Amino acid sequence: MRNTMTIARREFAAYFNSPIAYIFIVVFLLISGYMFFTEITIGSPQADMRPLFGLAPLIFCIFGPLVTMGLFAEEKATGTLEMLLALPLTDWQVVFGKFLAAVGLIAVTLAFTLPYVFFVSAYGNLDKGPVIGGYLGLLLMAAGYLSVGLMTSVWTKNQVVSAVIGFLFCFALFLFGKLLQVVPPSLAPIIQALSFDYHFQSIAKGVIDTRDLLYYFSLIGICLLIAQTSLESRRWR
Amino acid sequence: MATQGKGPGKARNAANALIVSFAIFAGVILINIIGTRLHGRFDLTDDKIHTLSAVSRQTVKDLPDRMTIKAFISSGLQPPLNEYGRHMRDVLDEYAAASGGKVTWEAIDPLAPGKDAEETRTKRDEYKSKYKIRPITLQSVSESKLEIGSDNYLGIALVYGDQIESIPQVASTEGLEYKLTGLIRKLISAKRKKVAFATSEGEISPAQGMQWVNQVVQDYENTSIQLDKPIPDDIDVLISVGAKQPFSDKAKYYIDQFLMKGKPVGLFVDGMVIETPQGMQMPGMDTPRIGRQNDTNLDTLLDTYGLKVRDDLILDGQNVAGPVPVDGQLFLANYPTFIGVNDKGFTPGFALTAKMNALIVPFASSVELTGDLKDGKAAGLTATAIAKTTADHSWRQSGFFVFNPQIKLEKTGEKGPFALGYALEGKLKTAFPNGLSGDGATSNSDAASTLKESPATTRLIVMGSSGLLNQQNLLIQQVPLYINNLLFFTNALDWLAHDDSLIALRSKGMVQRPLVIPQESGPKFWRYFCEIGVPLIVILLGVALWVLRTARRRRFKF
Repeated sequence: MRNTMTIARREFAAYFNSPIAYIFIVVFLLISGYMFFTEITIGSPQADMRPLFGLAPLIFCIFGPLVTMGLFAEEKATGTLEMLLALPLTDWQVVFGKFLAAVGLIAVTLAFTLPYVFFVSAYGNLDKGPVIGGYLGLLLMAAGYLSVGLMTSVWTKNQVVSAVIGFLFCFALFLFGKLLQVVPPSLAPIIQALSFDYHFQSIAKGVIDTRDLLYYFSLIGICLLIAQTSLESRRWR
Repeated sequence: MATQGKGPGKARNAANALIVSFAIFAGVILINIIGTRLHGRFDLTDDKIHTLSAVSRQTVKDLPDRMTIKAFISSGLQPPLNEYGRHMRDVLDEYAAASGGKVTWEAIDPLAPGKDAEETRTKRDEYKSKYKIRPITLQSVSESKLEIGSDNYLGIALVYGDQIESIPQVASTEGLEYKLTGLIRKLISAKRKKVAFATSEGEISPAQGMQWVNQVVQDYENTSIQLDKPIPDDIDVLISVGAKQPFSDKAKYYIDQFLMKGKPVGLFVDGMVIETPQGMQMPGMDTPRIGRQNDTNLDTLLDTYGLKVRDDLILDGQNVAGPVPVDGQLFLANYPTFIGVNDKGFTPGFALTAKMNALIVPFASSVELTGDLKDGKAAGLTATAIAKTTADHSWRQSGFFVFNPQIKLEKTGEKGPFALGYALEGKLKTAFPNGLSGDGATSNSDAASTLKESPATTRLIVMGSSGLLNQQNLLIQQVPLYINNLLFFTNALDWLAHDDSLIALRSKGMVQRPLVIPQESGPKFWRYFCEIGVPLIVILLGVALWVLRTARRRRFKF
């Protein structure tokens, strides 16, 4: 675990040593802030965080692959991956360490939206359950997108190709939840069970259900496992 | 040779890696399958709205006999019904667990084929006729065409002895627990309570002006009565909403004696009426709407109980949209007459409003405590404010008032907070200690026959607005906050009928939590801080770290 955390710290610092983290956080905050405050100041707004929780999944779907595209693709292109893998580290430690760094970046980004929570609770009776659930759900959903992006980053040297493939996967997972009314009934339950949205909505109600947690942990685990196996495949070729 | 030696090793590595990966993959799928059957839930919401409440638990625990719940869940349910199905199973599991074995539930697939076509048809007929289960129609796509399907069944039937109560379609999870517990209570109770709506003084009633009551108030049997004769003994609650004519002495006497028997009364009385004076209506033009005192002749009666509905109009800067006339047409607009009471306006811990976060009170008059009850307590009697306006933004408009939404109302007169209604509980003294004299007096209404004091459990509600229950004002489609008014009324009925336990249950998951942002500089500053200030802080942090890093690099160079 110490090796994993060393990798995670290094990658996390690397995000903040380059403009990537700042651009990501600032763009996210500008979009979510504008949309959030527009929505809570028209009509009969409710004291909840739904405007943020409704928008953030789409933003993370787009930004997730962008955040992770460089994690392996860039190291492959510059040749630093071989140096990294030559260190006394297992492939899993490298994969998981980089994944944790990306999740850390998302967690920091979400932390900057906490003033929204204080604003809403100052002018309404905010139920803390859906807020905690929503933030947890967002973090899990973002972690899911990041694991997909990390997986595609291992597959290629080209960051753009990694981001595009990652985005296609993420968008499919995002879209599943939106297409349920137009897919054949026999397929709908399966597609729903696979969709990020369905499990996120369940947690965002303020109910932490082990089935939803299991879904996210399974998806993240499988994507990271594929990433590790893909990385390991260099030894077979 | 070296190459030959590495070949099998690579292949072995590849095979090992792939086998391990597939094993883990299969393991993950297996864990998910097991996880769908063995699962746990943690409800983080303030009111535990996704967890069975204490009332429901107690209801099933106290069941005198066994109850079977049949859950009709068809296979291959379309979204979002499959999510509702999952919720329904979880809820029924909780009921069964809480009942200590008195409640059992079984899942039935109405679409499952029988041994033959005849058996299939018989079963489906039974589900329809005996258990009242109806299919839920959803749109579906088949061969690239949008079609109307009807093959989704999601319903519940409760079987208790030879009685059956059903929820034919579970088309939403909202309020499911309330419906289920309500039906269970209905099955085990002998008869429903009876609510009478007075109509003799120009009041609105479920027949006219309060049609929504028939949909919302299903736990009670409702009827209309004229207050020209004594209120029948089988009436459990008396309600009067929006009286426009003065109550006769006889009507007041009957109300008084109803209370003295310990029966509850709810009076929703306007202290002022807003109307267009006769002869001033001009088609297509704004006609002045003038406020005048609403003479209901209830002052002496209410004063005996320690209450007074003032002939004023309370206005509040904390308001919501309501129907206002502009250029001869009704528009939806925020106006201080549509008072928005939020959770801060309710008395903490009071059962009637404990779970409420909002109430819209249009055209309200203030209600005050008088006499011995001025401080909220008198011998054997307690008064609780039901709803209060804001302290800083509300004001009183007394006397003549012109209602013109195009003119901004200036704050004048006495400032808030004002109570918009009170709930009294305890011993009430009669307003007719000498009985009823004059017109309508009989031997049954003389001093000797008149009850002088009510039991200690008597309950009375007096609200200074009927508009909060008027069908015309309940713009639930446009302003969902108005749904709180329906909730309030059903809560009020339960409170009056001493059935407080359902109040908390009804509100579960249906409570609106309004966000009321005052139009002042403070909230605007915080809004801009969140929108622009926080991203700016991130940028400044980035710049500061970059400067520090650059300075450190320079130090290393030298």
